[in-house]
Amino acid sequence: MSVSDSHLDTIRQLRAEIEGIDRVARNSAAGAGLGPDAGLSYSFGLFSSISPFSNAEQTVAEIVSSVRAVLGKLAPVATIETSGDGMTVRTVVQYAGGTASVWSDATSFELATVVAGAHLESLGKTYALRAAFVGAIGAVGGALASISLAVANPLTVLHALASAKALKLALERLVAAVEAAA
Amino acid sequence: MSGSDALLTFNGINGSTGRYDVEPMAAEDFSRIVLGTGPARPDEKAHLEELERRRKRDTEAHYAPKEGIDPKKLEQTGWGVIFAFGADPAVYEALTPLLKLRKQQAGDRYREYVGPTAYRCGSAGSPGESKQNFLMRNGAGPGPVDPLIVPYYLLIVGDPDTIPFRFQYQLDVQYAVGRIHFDSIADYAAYAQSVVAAETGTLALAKRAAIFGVSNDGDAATKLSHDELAQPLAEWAATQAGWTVDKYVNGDATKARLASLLGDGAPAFLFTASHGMCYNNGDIRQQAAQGALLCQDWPGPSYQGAIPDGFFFSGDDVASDAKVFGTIAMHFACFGAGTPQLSDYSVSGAPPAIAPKSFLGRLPQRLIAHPRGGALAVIGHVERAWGCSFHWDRAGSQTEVFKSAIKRLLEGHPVGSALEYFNGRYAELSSDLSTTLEDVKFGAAVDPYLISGLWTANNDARSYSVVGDPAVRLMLVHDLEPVHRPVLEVISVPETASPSQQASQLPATPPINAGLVDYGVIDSVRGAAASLQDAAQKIGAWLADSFQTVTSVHVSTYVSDSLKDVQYVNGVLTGAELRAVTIANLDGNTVVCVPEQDGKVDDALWKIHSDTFDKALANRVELLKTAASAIASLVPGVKAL
Repeated sequence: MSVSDSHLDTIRQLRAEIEGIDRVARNSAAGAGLGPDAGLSYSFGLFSSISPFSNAEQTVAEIVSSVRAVLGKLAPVATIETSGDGMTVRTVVQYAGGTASVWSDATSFELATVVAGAHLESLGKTYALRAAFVGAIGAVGGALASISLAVANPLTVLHALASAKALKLALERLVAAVEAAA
Repeated sequence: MSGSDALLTFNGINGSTGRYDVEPMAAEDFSRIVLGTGPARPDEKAHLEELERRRKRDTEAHYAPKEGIDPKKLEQTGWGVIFAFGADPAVYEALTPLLKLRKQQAGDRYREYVGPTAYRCGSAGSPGESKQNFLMRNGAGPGPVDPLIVPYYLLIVGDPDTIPFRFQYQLDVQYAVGRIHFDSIADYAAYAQSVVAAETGTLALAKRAAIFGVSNDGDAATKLSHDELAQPLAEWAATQAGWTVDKYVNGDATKARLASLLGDGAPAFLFTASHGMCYNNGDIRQQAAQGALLCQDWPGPSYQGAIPDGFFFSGDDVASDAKVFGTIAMHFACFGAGTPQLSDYSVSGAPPAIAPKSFLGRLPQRLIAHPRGGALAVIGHVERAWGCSFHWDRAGSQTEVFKSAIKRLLEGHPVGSALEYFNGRYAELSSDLSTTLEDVKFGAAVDPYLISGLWTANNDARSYSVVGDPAVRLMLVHDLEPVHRPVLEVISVPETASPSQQASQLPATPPINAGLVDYGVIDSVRGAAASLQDAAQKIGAWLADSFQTVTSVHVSTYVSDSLKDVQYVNGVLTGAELRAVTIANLDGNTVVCVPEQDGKVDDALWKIHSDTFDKALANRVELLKTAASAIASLVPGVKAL
């Protein structure tokens, strides 16, 4: 696999976006308990003017499907190869804990040093991408929990559904990012 | 307890110290407390005005909602249930059988106050809404009940921290109010099952009452309640047509007697008069035992030290096979029905906290939620109970309010309607007290004992509360029927009903009130919420798994003459020579295998290997931090689901 800086930026940006969705959902749920009068009038206004529940189940089904896709597409193993001046180095990373590298037996010290620098840099980015995915997935979990809470409250159900839609879009991009990094 | 020089003796024994919860004091001292406690809330004046209206109504007419309404007929009086805003839908579900029954009985006078019409709770620094505001939002002003607008019988569902006792007292002036609150969903379901079974099944109780009057040695308070309340009530009850009365007085009111009475088959109506147990604010026993009935076993004030469990009857003493189905009990005892967080009696300034939060008494909770068939209601006292409610200065014993209320109960009146006599007395006393305090304000010299008496009686009368549905009544045997008290099947209720179950069980057609719209709304997305929770939990499990599997770093470095022949199968490299290995467990164990060439360390390979290991280790640490942070942020949310 080859990891670019843009991959990393995309995932980190997505994580920040998802954490923002989480915050909105969490704050709306918390805010509902602070001021029942305010919350209620706000809620009345929305309830009387729109009917937002028609496609809620579909949105949630798509979110669940995307979560499964993200978790399923995260390969347990990554292979990184670096070549230079006729030499190739291969490293197999098992995310559960093992890393194995194969070097040419005939490699001179100088050549090995040059290729090793490039190879280790790739290895570092591969690791960083994995950490970024874990962070983004953790953020998804937090957002899901917050949205679930907000959905259960009549005052915040509309916020929750709006957050769910935003999360669905973010998850679709996360799935694409996982596929691109594979 | 008569004459201005008499010491006032108060009901309630502190279980921690074994002393009186409020030490006896002179009437004059107590009157200072009263005078220092004027109306404190903006709604107090309006409440007093309403009490005056109520007093006039009661002295000029009869007890009932508006003219022409029979309080024994739910189709006329109506019936409503008040939830706190944002209440747990699982509670609603657990009560569904009861709600369906009441809806059937009350017809178009059935109301559910949920969602937008629910009680609006207070938040930090602001109290919950007043009874006036609640009624106003729901279309009713002060005055006699018009069941077409708000039903006469109102069941509050929620703990008194969320829906305060004060709201209940205020509402109870014109309406017939009861309250239930339990710690478990199963208890709500058990109570609903008991009421429904009692009113639709074969329950037919014998017309048997029991009067349980404690009189502890050397204790003026229980001597008074024994001699001037329990004994007169026992004698009077025995004269009621068709009723037999078991008397547990004159030293017979022991804990063992009470346990046996409930275990062998409780009477249809049980009246007890005793001290109620009190504990210091936050005492570990407070929640479970405050309001428990201190029995004859207490040797009296000469007893030194903490009160042992053997002296009092608490919720924990209600046996799992107790036969209390259908009983209605009335406890004259401090805190018998519940405890407010803040005392009703403060010398000046903010009332002191007497509990970490307001709560219902455990004994009534256990009695009415008994899974084999519970008592239908318990009438008890919130805060301290006072002798003034049955003894009035030079007039002596005054039991008419008790007798009138009990008579109604014995005749099959709903419990909320029977309690109207206490509410009428509260209205009268409040108006009298208000007038007297006004006189004092304008310089009149008033007997301190009169003020003390009015004040205590006022608080005492308002604090009688129904734990249970105010519309329940004694289900008594008719002339030719056999007496029958069935044992109910214990119903199984998941403690937190799954949202999908909730969705399937909630009423498909919202009842009359707009409040139910909210339940309808939640129905449509409840299945979605379950799916979201499931997905969140899957992620939590995945993260936890990641967390567990990254606790070691294993780096191997191979060399090969021909990389194309190298294969990676099942975690093992073949076709290459293993030259260096480093295994580091995060518990500190580390294994290092260093490459050598010609008897020396192969520096070139070792450097490559070491750099790779550093990268791998840094990554593991980063992953652990990320996973831990994600789990930490996820767990509170998941827990709250």
